[in-house]
Amino acid sequence: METLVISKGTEMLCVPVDRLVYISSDGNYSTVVTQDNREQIVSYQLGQIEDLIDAQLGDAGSRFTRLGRRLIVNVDFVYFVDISKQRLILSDCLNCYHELTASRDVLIKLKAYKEALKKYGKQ
Amino acid sequence: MENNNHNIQDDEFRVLGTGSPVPMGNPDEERRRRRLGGWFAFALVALLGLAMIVFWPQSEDPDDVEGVFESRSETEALPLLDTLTTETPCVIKMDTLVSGHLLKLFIPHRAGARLVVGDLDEKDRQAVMNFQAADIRADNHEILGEFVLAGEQLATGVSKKGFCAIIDGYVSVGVGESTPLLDEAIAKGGYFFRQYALVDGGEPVMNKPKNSTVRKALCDWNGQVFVAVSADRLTLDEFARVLADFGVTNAIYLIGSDFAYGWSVDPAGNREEFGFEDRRPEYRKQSYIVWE
Repeated sequence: METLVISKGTEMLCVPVDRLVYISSDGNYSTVVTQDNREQIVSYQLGQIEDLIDAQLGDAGSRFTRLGRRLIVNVDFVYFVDISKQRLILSDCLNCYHELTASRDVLIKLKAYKEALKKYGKQ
Repeated sequence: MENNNHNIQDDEFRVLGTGSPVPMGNPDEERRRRRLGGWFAFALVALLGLAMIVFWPQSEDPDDVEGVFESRSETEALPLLDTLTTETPCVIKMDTLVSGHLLKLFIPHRAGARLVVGDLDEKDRQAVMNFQAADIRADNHEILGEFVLAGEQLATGVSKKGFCAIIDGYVSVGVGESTPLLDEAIAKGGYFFRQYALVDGGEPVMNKPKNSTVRKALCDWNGQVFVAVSADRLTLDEFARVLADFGVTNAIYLIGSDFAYGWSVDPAGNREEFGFEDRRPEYRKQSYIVWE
């Protein structure tokens, strides 16, 4: 199972990438949300976590997308995109359900990316 | 650890890891990307149209045709329409989902347009598509807004900013209080009418609140003109936003509810009628844009 390791100082967070739903930014801190609906705050900026994903996951990192300044989202969990209401729902259709907001432009691009992944057999 | 690539705006999107495993185009051009989702759909429409014409004789049920959004660039999208092999005027009819709303597209192929005032001739086999165009008052049959019929200006007034000019059979859709196309239409025996503007330069135009109903629009997609009809009941503003999300360059409203009579002719020559003709005297005089 591929894992994203977020380590700093005396703390280390190990998250199976299949279970990582999204990461939201809170300034110098970020909140990692996993499929079991747990939230873990880490002292990393979102841009720094981007670097970790790029360095540790390589091709597998393409399942994660940066949506504006606030979010990194695992596209595998994209359940519903409503561009007109600027609404994004991430869900596994079991226990995980998160309703987020994002800009119209970002959601248009996310929708196009998901459709392209489907079309080219990447999902 | 941080690098300059982390400068990101709220409306930006990027794929992490080693990048997108699928073609995504240039993510930095926000406006272009906003329209790109619509371009995908339009390329799809063009491709499906081509497929329908090429495979029509072998297809037992053309309604089985399905599609996905095509990932194509702007330069690839429009020439596809020119590759349609038939020279016979016809209409490619397609459905597409935009922002959760189904749009029905009627795309004329190899057909010139003109305006008609009065009743449609149901026996007219030259016309491949028609939709109601300008507002005509039911009480005194006054045409509302600038209106030119075969070079003759029948009405004046610019209460509605959207316009359609038809010169030498070619349709232009735009928004503005004045346009040289009006004089050109008069000089060249063309046609001109005004309607509510819905999309201006890719941006939705907000109008006074109206009720929700099936909406129709004459759309220009960088020179490609087609009619879009909403499957859902939408307000004018909702309809304008959907068209803008789709990527339409300019669009104006067309009157006529879902009961308005008309027809379209598919590439196989089959004529599909919609709505019904209102035979009440006050509604006998309508204006239509007819492709033939």
